[in-house]
Amino acid sequence: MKNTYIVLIICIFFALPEILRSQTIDLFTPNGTVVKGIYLAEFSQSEIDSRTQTIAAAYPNATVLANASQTYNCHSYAFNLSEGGSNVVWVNRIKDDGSANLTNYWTDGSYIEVCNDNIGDKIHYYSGDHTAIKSPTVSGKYESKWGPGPRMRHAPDYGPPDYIMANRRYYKRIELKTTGGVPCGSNLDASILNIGANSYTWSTSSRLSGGGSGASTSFTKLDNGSATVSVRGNFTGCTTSWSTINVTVSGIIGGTVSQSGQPDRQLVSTMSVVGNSQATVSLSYLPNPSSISVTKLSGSGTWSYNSSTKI
Amino acid sequence: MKKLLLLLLLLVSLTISCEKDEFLEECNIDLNPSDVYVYPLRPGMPEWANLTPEQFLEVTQMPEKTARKMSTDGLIQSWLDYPLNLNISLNNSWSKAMDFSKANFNGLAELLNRKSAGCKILERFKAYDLTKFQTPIERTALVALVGYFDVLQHMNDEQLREVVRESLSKHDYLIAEQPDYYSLSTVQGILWPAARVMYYLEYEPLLEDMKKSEELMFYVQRGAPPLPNGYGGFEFQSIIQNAKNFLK
Repeated sequence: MKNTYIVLIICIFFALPEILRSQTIDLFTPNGTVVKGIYLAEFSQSEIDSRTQTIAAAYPNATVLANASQTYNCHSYAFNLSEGGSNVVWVNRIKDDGSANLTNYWTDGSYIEVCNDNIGDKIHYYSGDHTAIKSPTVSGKYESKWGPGPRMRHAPDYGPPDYIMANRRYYKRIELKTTGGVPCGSNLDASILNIGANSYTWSTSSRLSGGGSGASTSFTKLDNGSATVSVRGNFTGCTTSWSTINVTVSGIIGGTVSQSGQPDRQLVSTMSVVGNSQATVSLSYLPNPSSISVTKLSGSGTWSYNSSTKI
Repeated sequence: MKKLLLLLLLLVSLTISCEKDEFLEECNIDLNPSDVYVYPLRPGMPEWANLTPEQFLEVTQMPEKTARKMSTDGLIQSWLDYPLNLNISLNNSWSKAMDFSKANFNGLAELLNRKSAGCKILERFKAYDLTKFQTPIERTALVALVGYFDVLQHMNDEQLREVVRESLSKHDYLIAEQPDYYSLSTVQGILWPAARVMYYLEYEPLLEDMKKSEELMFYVQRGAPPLPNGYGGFEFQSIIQNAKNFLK
């Protein structure tokens, strides 16, 4: 009986790290979308050596950068580890229900599809479920992790034939930001990291208006609420995909409406805004003077109060 | 009346013989077939370094006529010798990698057309001595073949059970005898044919477990990535326990 307990304790001791460690982790795209990663145990050393040597011999024109490992794969290397991620995990292209996993990196606007690898630094071999990065050290070469095999530096079309390496798409990290208008100001400014396009096309939803062709632009706020800002780059002969972010338009006119001279007596209000110049203010009670002072977030002013319009 | 009965008997026996013809119930295998295809270029040869991926496929292609004439044993060995079968272990899905090989390698396509493929591949799986594997990649080429649905469809129920039995037996051997050479996640590979048979036959307890674990589902469906959570984990034990119960 005592021996049984000892064996049990030993088993638990060795199994504890696996029990305690979560098998999956949520990684995040730069724009905050969850990408699922899976922790996996490493090969034995003999397997690492054997797999690395076999693959190196089969692909003599590629350079082994790191030994075979099944703790991470191409997708994890291209979009997670090469970007400084610290979680060494395996990333699948899709989840078991068929929903997106890897593709979240470019469908949420974190990356945009660009025309070639002069612009893009992430490469998706879309027919072969494989990804790579442009080599940061050797011009014209890519670097990618070959499944649970080694990490290799290789020519764009040199690798396992079932990666179907002729079918490539290129992606570029794009930092689309909105500043200076939410919640303050009458405008919403948007800018992207300049990706070297000849021009840019900006687009927005109905709560904003404006556009432009530069790497930054300014939109006029029309209404409070949810909106989107999108941009794409125009190169000679091709156009990138759209990068879109969600924004909340607010604060066109707002703040506390107070009766002049009686700041402690706030007139609780709700406002619906049409354009940037008119507002309908519903007050919970009527102030004495014929005018009220309104502090606009983009400035301040005095609006006349017409008691005849009270409801 | 007698003639009618005789005719009926003849028809019944013909039907039975036709059914039998779909699967070879027994077969002998030749582990050293004389007609194995000799690939003109292989990794390690100087010329190999001059090839593009498209040329890898071309120079290792087996002529269709040669494939048609070859014995099933010869085709199996030719698959195990196929210089590009190592790519299966580099793919995120063994199933898709097998599909690609089937579409691009006449030797595999011909093998999968043979009625004797199921029986012969099963016997080959049983005969394969794990201690003689030179690399884990070679083993992957065999288990990926055994667990491929295009192979399983050539097996009868007893042969499918035999795959599960053999898979478990080999797993037991590796765990007991080769714990240092093979990592646990590689040992899983030998269980893949068992998992695939149960999945192929829609064995309900396994399907239920697959609904509970995305990793188990991926592994059974695709062979990669390997299972997380170690030997005592839900996924690993699901395959082992379900295989044992399946055989009861």
